Amino acid sequence: MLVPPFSSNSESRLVSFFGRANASLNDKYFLTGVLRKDGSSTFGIGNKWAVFPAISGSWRLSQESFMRTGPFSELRLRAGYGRVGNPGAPPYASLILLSADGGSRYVFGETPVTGFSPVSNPNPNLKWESTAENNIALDYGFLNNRFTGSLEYYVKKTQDLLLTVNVPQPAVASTRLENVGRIQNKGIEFSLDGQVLNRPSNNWTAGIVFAHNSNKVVDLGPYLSLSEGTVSGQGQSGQNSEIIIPGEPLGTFFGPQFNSVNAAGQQLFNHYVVTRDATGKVTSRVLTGTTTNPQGDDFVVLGNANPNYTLGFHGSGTMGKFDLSFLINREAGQKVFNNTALVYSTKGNALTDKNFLISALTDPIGIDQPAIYSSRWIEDGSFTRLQNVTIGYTFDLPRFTGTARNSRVYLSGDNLLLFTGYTGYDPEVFTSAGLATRGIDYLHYPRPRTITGGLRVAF
Amino acid sequence: MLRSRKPMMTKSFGAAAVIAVLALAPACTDLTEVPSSSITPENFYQNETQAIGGLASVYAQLRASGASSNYYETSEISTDEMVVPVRGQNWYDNGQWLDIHQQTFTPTTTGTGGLINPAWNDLFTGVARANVVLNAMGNVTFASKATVVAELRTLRAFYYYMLMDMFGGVPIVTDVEIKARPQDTRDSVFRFIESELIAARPDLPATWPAAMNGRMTQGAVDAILASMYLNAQVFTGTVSATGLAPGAARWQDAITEADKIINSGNYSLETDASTGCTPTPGCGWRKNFTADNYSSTEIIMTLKFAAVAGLGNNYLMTLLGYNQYTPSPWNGFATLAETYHAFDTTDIRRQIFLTGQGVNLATGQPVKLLDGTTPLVFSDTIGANITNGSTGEGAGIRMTKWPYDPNHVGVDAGNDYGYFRLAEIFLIRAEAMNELGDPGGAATLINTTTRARAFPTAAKPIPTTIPQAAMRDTILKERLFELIGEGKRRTDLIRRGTYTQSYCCAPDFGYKFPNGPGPIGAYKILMPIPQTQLETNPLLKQNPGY
Repeated sequence: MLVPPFSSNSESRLVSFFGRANASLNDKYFLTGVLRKDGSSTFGIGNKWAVFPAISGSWRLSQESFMRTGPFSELRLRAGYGRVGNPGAPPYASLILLSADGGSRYVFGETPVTGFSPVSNPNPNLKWESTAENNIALDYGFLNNRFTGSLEYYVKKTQDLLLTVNVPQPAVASTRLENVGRIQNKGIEFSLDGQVLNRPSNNWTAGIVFAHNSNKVVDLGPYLSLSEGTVSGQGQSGQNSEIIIPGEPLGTFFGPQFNSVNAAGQQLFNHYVVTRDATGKVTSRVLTGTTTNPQGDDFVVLGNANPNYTLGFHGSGTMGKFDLSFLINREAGQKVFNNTALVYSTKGNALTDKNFLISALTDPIGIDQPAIYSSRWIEDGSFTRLQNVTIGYTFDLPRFTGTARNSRVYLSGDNLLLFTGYTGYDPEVFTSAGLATRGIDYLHYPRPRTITGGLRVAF
Repeated sequence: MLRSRKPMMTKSFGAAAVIAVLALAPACTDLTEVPSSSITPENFYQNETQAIGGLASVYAQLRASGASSNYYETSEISTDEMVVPVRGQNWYDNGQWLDIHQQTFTPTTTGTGGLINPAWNDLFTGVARANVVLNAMGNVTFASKATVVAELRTLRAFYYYMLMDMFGGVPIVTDVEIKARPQDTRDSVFRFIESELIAARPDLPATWPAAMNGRMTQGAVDAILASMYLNAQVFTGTVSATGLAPGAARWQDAITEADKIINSGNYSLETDASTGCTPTPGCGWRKNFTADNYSSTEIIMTLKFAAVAGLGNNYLMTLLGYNQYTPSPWNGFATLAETYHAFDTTDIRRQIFLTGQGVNLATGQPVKLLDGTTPLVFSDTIGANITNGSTGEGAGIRMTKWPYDPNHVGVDAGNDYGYFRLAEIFLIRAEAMNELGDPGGAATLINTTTRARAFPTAAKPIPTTIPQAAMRDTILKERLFELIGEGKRRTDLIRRGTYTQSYCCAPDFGYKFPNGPGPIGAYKILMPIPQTQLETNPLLKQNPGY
């Protein structure tokens, strides 16, 4: 008889063929074509291979005679289109497999017997998720390339998302991996770097990088929405904080709107009356007072975890034997779910000898009240951070060694200053790309502030 | 700068190699998956041992329908047998327990998301597992194949029985394809279950040897059918937004099925005398629930548990105080004060309730609350408002229907969960007799069976002169006393038309809802089809009223 623990092995294979062709004409016109054929064993029969083309071209305007006299020392217009695939499916997701796992064991008489059953749903039609990107950009340099930078606009459309979704019952499990829906990312990126001062003993460069990305779920196939972003803490079973819903970005927080606290010390939330058509689509939503026990229809979009923009400002330079560099980051407009506060801002922790945050002492909520996920815990996570400053001094030590040149002593500080309205430790919580949840702060380890000093002696 | 007049062109190609490589390396481009540590249905279920492995997996899914399952908790907590009040920081859980208990569930509420939707998936998983193994039985032969197939069909029918009970009409599926399908009517599901059970019965044994205890028998089929016929007016009726239009009654058929069991000679009521147990009175009745209840002569169909990690009954964990058991229980589920006080104080079946000072079940020593200083004292009252977290740790009577198993392993105890006991078969027969105009006969049957056992010293018989209408109420109460916690109450209340008004809220000891107990729509005798399922399967239609 087979009893846990089990062991298993799995195998997957990824094969790629890649071809590229470059052409240029007069050092002015450039064309690059890429064709790749990727094969992954994890997709269904007939869907294992996919071809992903890409083409891009650029025109070096600064080489044209009509641009000779302008301010630009470098000017290049480029545009491209390309498709890439995501092979992110686990092995055997397209096959029906049997397993002797614990959920298939049963007891006959008083003896456990091993059972064999499919434990996941196969999807024989599983195929590549693919992203098509269109971009157009301008690279520029002027004053003899003393200032350089670029401006780019892109649109990325991802289709056939590899999502774990519910399947119609009966099925041996409630979900399977399917190619469902489309998302879109649009954005603009801008950068400018310049030599502010350029003298032999006094040399400074500075630059900014600006980026804005807007993300939107376009389509979810048959699903009106998917729920994710598990809320942590006591009494939070079955509570999710985020929703994936067409028309809204990934990382959208979804929950009841905190309204006020009543005389009994209970939290009140906005209560809505919602009407739906025959297909379940919402046709109207009317605010009708408050409730202490918010239900499905009281849940609304509470903001999203994506920043409106990110901005980086960096500079470096030397003055005589001193050198200095710094980096400042800013992200603005993103929301953070302060799950840590949800759990530790409830006075009731005191009843079981646990600590709670000082802010809970002054709120009017009763000591016997449960923690309830709501807009109360969704905070603005905008911040500006002095990410790094480094100061150095370079010197020679001929007196001691006769040979030492370019020795350097420096002091470098990371995460020196943080300006934010966020009440937790650090609003910059893990944000992963792709479909994973983002913007949830639960006992997230804050970034350390580090000061490093060093001495380099060169012989 | 010198510039050429002639266009200067450079180009490079790396693509030509692709075709050549593709042609040269067939082995490295073969992407066929051959799992090395897993098996597929095509190469399994080829002999008796493997087929029984498949059968075991279909039985295993029964754990998702008995004590502590989503189906069980949805069923119990939506009635007056159980409540899960918010207790300070604990048990709010997105409002799902309140949603179920207050019957505020709709296709999108948190109780639907947290309990009803998982129950839908759990029960259909049982159907799907049965279909996988049944489909693989087509081209294999082995000695016990007819029995295995009959067990599989009985199990699938039982999963459908629970689906029909909870959701009404659902898709009847006997293949393994995953696709959207429309519902069949509740009446069609009823007839499908009936015909499957009747077809399977001849190939099932009357009893199994002890080593195979827990497998399906003819008695199990008869018990499911008796229960179906008892509820036929509900199951074959039509539910609209205003409630139930009853279907045809099947009282005589219920009596016929009950008599097959009673007259089979395979089952007898467990009593103090029959078991020779201590302490009396009452231990004989409790034999149906203790960890050694596998040997109960009264249980007809059972969900097997064992004191083995992952295979046990964790019912006690849901309700015991934090210091009453190891590992520390979850201190959640309680019984309504009204329900506890409905029991006669001399009824031995009242022994299942924990009141007053709580003790450690292993040592018998009094225990404290989580704070370590205040004694744990169970009160029958739960508090003014279960939605307010003011409900204390000790609030609410606790129902230990399946008692402590001294050999439990972690949360896993070995107490089996009986779906049908002979006691219920007597009550089914009595109810059918009463409906057919024989309340006196029904009273006599109950007086000589369940009530004789429940009042061993001073008998409390039902008067045989009782009129039919009063006997209906008496039978409903007798079923409560005998079967509380056994997942029957929701179906019983629906059959008697009182499910959506089950809270009597007597002011002396009851908790109150913020806005009173009602009104609750009569259509809530069917659970909503969860919104998730409607989106997943667009061919499904929502139940009336939602």
